[in-house]
Amino acid sequence: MASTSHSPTWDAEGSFNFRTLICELLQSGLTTTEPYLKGDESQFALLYTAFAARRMVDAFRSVSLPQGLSSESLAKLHHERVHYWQFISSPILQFRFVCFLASVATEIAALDGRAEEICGSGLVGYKPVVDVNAYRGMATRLRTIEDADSRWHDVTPEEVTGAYYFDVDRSVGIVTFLISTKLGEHYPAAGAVFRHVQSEYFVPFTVKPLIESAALLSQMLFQKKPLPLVDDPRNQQQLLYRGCWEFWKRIHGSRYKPLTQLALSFIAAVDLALAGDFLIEPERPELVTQLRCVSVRFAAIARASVYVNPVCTRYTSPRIAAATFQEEICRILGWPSPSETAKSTTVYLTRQIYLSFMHKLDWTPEAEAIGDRLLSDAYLDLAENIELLRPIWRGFPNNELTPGSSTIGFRMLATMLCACYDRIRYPGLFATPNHSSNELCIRYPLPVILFNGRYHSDSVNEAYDPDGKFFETMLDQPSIIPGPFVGLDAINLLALSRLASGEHTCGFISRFTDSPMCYYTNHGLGCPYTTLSLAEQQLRNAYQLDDWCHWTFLSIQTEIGSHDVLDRWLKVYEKSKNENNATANDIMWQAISAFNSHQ
Amino acid sequence: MSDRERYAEAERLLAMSENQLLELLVPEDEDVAFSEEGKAAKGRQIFNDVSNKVKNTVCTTYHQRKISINNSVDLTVLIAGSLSGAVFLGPLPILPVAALLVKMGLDLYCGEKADG
Repeated sequence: MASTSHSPTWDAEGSFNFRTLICELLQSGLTTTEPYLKGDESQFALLYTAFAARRMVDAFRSVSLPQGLSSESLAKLHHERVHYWQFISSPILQFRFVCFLASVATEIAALDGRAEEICGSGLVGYKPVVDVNAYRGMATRLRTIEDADSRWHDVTPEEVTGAYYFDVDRSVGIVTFLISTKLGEHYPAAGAVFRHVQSEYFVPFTVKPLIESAALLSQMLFQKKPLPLVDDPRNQQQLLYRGCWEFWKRIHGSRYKPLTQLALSFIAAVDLALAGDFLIEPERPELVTQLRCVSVRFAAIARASVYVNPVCTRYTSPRIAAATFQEEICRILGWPSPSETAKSTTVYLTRQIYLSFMHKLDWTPEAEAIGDRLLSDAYLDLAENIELLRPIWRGFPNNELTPGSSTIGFRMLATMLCACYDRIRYPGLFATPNHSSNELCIRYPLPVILFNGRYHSDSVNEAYDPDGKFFETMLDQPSIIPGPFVGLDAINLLALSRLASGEHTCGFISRFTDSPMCYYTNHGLGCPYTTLSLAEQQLRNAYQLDDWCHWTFLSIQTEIGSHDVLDRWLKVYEKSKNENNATANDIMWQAISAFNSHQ
Repeated sequence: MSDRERYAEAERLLAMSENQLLELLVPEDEDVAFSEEGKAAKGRQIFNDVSNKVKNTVCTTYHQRKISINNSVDLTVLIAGSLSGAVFLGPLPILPVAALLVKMGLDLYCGEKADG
């Protein structure tokens, strides 16, 4: 966490993007963006980037957040960290991410590019042909999770299928729906209804309101502030951020003291709702919905929760109390627990990563035997003993020189794989973001923080893990990926994100204002894919950067760029290959040497 | 949108707070989660970017307007009309941008000096 030893001088709001993993801090009161670095620092950064470009590497520097972030804003940064932990640990959100990668890969394949450069897409081989049936299957499965979420604003009274009230006064209840789509399909959904003064208000139990309520609650606990309730239900923002918690408090308020215990139970309930199982095909059809549809899950959890003991931390740790609460609810409902679901997801994610690397890397005979099982129809049987997967995990790229290490999305999927593994080993870890924040910050720092168009690392100081005990337990994880390396995926995915909607342009260029804002523009290099000013062109010429940028690098890596771009940069690469700068460290030392010689 | 609808919408937008208007500039995106005031902050970032780009167009229109066009609703519709041809605004909702500019004060925005 950024040091608070400096007087607070700036405030910021936050956002987290569940596709690109970018956490953006938006400084309050800022009207213009200052140039990123000045003087010597800027010169060094440009030298580093220029040397990297000659080796066809997209290298850029990220730094720690400036000192002086106010405590209020630190709490908002914690809010965004909670979103990241929700994202990496929820099987539902993990599957959405895999589908997003598949969308990007499919678009790259349609452009006759190297779709296999996108990890986890299931597409293998050089310029693979998309297996349309497999892709359709994935898209169908995704729709069973998503459609209720995206159709919420169009719900009509005719789609209501029932209501259940928790009290005779009907002051709080659950409403269920069967939502129709234009294709004639139907998806179940649920939400809360509660009375405020003389009117009734409704809050859907979809992903957004649940994750926002849980994150806001966690933020308030972090700040030790009063827990928020809805005081104006006509305010849509309040309903979004507080509505689900308002509902939970109304059905449980009398059973819990103090309120912080109730908050713990709510955050655990949201975590359980997000821990749905999208893989198993249960015998009872109604279980499919309960296992995959977040809003239906949360409604079922709410109804079951009145029959389990309240979460109590008097005799046990918050983590165990939360895990016990989740397991008791799962037992009542006949669901797999989050730990059990995590075993299946561990196998699934291992399989998706393995598909990307099976032809790229050398595998031990032991790993190949397990690999054959991963490719079979019965691959989920491996969930019974996930340690069997360890030979596969050992074969994954573990440093930047290993072939395949630059495969886009690999670092993020590996991080999710570690999160699944930690769900199994440490039940309740992700259900208690406040009590486990030290450990979660060490294990899973935000990949990158975008602030004023600049990249910052989520640096955590040594106070979080003074004895190194958290780090020791991380050595057992399936894959060790330092936080800043996950940031590389974040930058790549942001640049490629518009491909998922069929737009063949860089994601750093705002689709609303056409303004690019990235590392390159912030160093005065402009965007070669919009209009370069004379000064920007001159700076590019001075550092021999030509049209190098994130998008140029990725269009070369995925081969969706023009042949001219690829040929031009290959010539640059050939000319400089005797400069012995194969690794990022070599590039850095070369830049340092050049910088010092100019001083 | 008919003229009447446009004027009614402008009136509705002008009754909103600045933060509510800023939030309207941020597209609905299921994949992005904001802190409670984060959407307004993002909207401000978008608005700052846009307002720099449209200054010439808006101020030219403002200075060349008929003297009778002085109330906020009329000004909002007028400014929105001048922006409607701006290709680079893409899917950005134009009326909220215009309402924000009017609320900010077009004299201030266009750099007019106060009399006296």
